[in-house]
Amino acid sequence: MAEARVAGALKPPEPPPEASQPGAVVWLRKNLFSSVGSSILTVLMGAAVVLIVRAALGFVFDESRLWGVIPRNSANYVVEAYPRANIARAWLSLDIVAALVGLTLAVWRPRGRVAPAKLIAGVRAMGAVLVVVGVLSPSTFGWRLGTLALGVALVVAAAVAGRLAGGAALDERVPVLGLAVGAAVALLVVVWLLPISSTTQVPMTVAVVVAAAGYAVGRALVRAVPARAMRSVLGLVWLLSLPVIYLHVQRNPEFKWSTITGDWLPWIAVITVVGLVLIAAVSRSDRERAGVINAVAVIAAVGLWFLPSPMVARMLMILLVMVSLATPTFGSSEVGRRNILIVWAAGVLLVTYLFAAGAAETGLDTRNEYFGGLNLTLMLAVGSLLLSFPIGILLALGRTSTMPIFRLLSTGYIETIRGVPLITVLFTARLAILNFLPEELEVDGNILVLMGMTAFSAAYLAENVRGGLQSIPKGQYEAAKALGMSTAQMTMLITLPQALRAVIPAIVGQVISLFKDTSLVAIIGLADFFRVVRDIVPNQPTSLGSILENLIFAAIVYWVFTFSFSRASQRIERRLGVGTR
Amino acid sequence: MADNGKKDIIVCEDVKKWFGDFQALRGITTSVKEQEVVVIIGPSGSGKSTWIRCINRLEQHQEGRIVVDGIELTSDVRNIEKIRSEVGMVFQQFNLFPHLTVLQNVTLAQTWVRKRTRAEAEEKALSLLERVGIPEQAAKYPGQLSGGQQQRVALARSLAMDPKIMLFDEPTSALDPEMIKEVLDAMKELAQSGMTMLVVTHEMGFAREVADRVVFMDQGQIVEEGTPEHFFTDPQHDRTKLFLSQIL
Repeated sequence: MAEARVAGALKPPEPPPEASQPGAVVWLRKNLFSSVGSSILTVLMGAAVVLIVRAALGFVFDESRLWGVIPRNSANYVVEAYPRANIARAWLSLDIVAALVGLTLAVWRPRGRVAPAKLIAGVRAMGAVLVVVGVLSPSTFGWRLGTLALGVALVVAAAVAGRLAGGAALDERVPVLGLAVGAAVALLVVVWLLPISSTTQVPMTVAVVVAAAGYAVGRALVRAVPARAMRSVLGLVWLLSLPVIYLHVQRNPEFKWSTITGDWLPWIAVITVVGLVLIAAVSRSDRERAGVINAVAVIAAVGLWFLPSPMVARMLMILLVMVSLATPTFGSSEVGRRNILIVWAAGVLLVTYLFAAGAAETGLDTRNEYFGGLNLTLMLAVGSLLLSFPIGILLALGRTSTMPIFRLLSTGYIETIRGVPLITVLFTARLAILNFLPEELEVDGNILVLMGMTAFSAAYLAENVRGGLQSIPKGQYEAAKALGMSTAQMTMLITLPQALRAVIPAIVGQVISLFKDTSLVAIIGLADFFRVVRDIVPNQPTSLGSILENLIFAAIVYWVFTFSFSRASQRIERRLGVGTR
Repeated sequence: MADNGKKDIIVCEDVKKWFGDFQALRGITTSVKEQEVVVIIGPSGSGKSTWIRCINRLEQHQEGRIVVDGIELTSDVRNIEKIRSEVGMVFQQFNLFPHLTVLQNVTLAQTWVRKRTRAEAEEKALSLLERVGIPEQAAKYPGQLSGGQQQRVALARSLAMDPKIMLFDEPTSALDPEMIKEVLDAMKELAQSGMTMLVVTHEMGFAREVADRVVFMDQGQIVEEGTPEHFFTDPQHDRTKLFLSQIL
């Protein structure tokens, strides 16, 4: 029989044993030359890499390359044929975005931090790349020597900085805000030191100043306004910035006041008042009466399409029905009723404005389709992404719904769109959608294509969201129901937020392909960034024959955007991961 | 089960339920009085959980009647949501909302279902977290808590709705032994405060100490019910004797 053993006082925890840093030789032996086979492979791959890099560098540094065309055409790349007389409007949209970025930095105060050690490692890597370029590139001797010297200098500087800072200081962290300031300063230095025309220098500087001002205003506001309110308002302003920039700032609409005050105003006034009364009544009724009132509202909204009424009135009725249907769920408390009435009033103003601005003729020199370049590419990508989110989520909910009609319609839509190539959808949008729209709606080609891309993207997004919804455990539904939540509350508050979080990687993948897919609109004749690169710039008298340079430039631009999306999504995932693990 | 003039708050009459061809409930007839603590025990698959899940209609019974607080459970959505907001439930797997903090878990349904203001809801939530012994965890996410703490948050989340009845579906079965006690203590405190409770559990000590009545189920029916004293010392039915001889 074993003797009983009793421990004395319990031991405190000990630090883990220190991991020994392997020497360079040991590392090489272990990772590159562990056996005869791997040694052969290492040598072969090394040779292949050297040859490929040398060939690529040889191409880039060949004297016949026309890299000069790229800075020369920068305005073409960004806005293409946008009338140069109104170019201040394009810069103004950049300033709006810059101000919002500044405000957002101030309100959200990015908590992420970067260790100086990482920055130093970045400098060292850059130096190493320059050394490799200097050694391998088949260009002139002087150029190679210069590159080599710069590379060595960077590597040495990194080593010196690391030594000077010492180990302890390297673990301290600098806030991300510092990096943003650094990037702004670097931008100013580049803009003012390089031979760039003053028509770019000044507006760029203004944009940086506006961003800084936005930050200052944001800091002041944060002290005065509750953070939650600030964040929701800011989110709303970001959402609104896109239509405002494209419908108002860049398009310069000339409102037809006689139509608005004459034909529209009676309709708008009546519908607004009816809406206020209706929503107040629904929010005070029990479920049964609310259902009856809403049914009447739906019938009235449908009926309005058969009456000779302006388009804006019909849209307002649709909005009214949507708000009214949401009222029993979100508007039955005192606060909820007030909020939903505010939503209705704001919605009327917004729909009316968007409609008036969209229907108005542009006051620019050129008619129609003056958006182009990166400006258009970004509008298509961001616009179709934002629009496809609500539609995609509704489709996903429809497809997982227990109601057979919704399920059938959603499934039919998703499977139809997913079975068709994007380019087909785009051609259809450009050529056919107009036939289905009422005549009084004037829609330009860019908006038609935006609708096509939205329709396409929504179907894919719906499938991603559906995957997320199906990953939610049954217990979450049961817990929500057991607390007395309605189906709408359960979806909005419990299952949908979790589903969206679960599918962030898939959605980012979709955003990336959506951004790249915007280049397809070049085929149907829109002057997006890719068309500028492929057709327009290489045919400029001063830039003839620069197609290869342009394509490489385009590849780099697309890569920079998509790579930043992917890094940003990794950050978001890490931030949101807190709650789940 | 002394009749001290309290009225029946749950009445079940011949409740039957099938999953496909399998009959999970073969006619449950019993009633629960206000402030009564009923512990339901029985072998797995005996229909204990199915029965209490029928009481807040997470499962639908197909025959018989269930009347909760004077409202009969039918497929009418209004009745179901009304009853659900009066009947709290604590699950075996806690089912906290992982994307919300502990405080938000407890305030969410208060603001959206009970229509309380945020300040009222938070005050209530903090006092309940105090009551179940974890006020310091309010800002954490459920994933950062131990199982016992999570289950106590789930209890607070249900109590925040001021339910008249609490259902417990094996609340300690997913917990480590050291954490079972903290949850049972919170439940005991709740029972002493006069809450009507239906508890499905395998914790015989809890049944003996806290229950007003023990219900033993097997094969979808009530085999025997009575006071804990009667049940543990003088069981009548052979099936009950066999069950008790295997677990005690």
